Amino acid sequence: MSKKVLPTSYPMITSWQWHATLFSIIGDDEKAKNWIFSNYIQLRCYNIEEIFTGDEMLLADMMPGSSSLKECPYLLFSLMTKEQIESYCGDIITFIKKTIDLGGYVYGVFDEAKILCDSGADYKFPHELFIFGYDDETKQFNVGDFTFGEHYSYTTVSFADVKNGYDSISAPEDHIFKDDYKGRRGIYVIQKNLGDTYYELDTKYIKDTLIEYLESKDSKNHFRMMRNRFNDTVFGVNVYDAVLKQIGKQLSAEDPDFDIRALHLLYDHKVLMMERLKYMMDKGVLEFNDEILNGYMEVENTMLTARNLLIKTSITGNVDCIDRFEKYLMSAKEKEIAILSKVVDLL
Amino acid sequence: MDKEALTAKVLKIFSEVLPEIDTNKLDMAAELTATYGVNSVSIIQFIVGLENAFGIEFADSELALGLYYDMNDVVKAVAAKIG
Repeated sequence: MSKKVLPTSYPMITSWQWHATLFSIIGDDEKAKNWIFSNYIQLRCYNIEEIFTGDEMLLADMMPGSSSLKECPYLLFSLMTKEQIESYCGDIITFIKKTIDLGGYVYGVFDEAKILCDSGADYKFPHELFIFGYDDETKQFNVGDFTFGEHYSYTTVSFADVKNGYDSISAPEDHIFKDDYKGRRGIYVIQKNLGDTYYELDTKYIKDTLIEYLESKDSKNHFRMMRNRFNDTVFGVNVYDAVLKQIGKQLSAEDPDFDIRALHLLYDHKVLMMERLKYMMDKGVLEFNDEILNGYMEVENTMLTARNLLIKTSITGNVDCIDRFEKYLMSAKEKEIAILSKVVDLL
Repeated sequence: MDKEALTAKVLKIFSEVLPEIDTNKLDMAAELTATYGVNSVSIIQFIVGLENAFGIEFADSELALGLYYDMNDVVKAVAAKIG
């Protein structure tokens, strides 16, 4: 009987499954921090159709977004199509176990209705699952996801449920594969690539991106050679206003919606920015400055308060609080602009 | 309300939020997150329960999980509000 669990650490930020996955794998690595803190500065948001409900939702994210898994130099990233998996290993269970044996993490879309309920569920819940270990004796995989608790958590899922969840998803339902690899169904294999220093902390890039963030500039223009499909994107500090507008819309709906994701993303952005400021001061690229750290802690705490208020609102149903959200978001925005403008001047 | 009665009422609310925890055996000084699995959502469920049970109100800034290391911290917060 074989068993193997690859190393993970609970991620500093969660927000989206791709961030939780990357940070679970390399978030604690000192060398990878040079890349992490040089990125995840610019914010963007746009409206999309929610995969599960078909409702319009505001997708807010930190750039480079889900591309981070492919583009981070501290990860080795491979695409495996369903046909390759079947040809190489015969079935998904063997493929995942062999991948883990070789030090590879697995990331892909599974029908989690098959995992949460039973194989007889009459609906589908396609969602990304992060798989990092297995145990032949218990016939379980070690996985990370938001689906199994009230927040991102690590747990175990049976081999049979993973197989059912994999088999249930067709190519058009594989939302992470279908956009870039049309008509395909597949899995990502991710390995650590930590042998040497591949990426130094990029102070110039941090400064340039902070300026774009503060000026709400359209950063997607830097990537037009690869993708150019979104035209309604809001960038930078203007994302605060877009999220506030969205919360107002959610709470005033006839059937209020308490989707917390955009607000939680904004909070995670502050958590990471705070860590970035400390890291830069620790590395000597930004002079130690108590005023900056204390001021930014206020921004982070204000966004935590706003996020918690939305959780409380979802519990009490008392939606008469949009003025409080406006107060929190606008004060955080104003304070953040003042502090990060000072950081830009110092860099 | 004396401290014993207050603590018993707080624990009763806690058991309604996390029924899998045996509050008779709860260690008042144990870390809420690591020992009892309290997270950023369940702490707010707990606080809403306390607000309703005691007729008190927590400020928005008092909903943060990090403010309550153990159950003693929660009891202290409620005691401060009911005077």
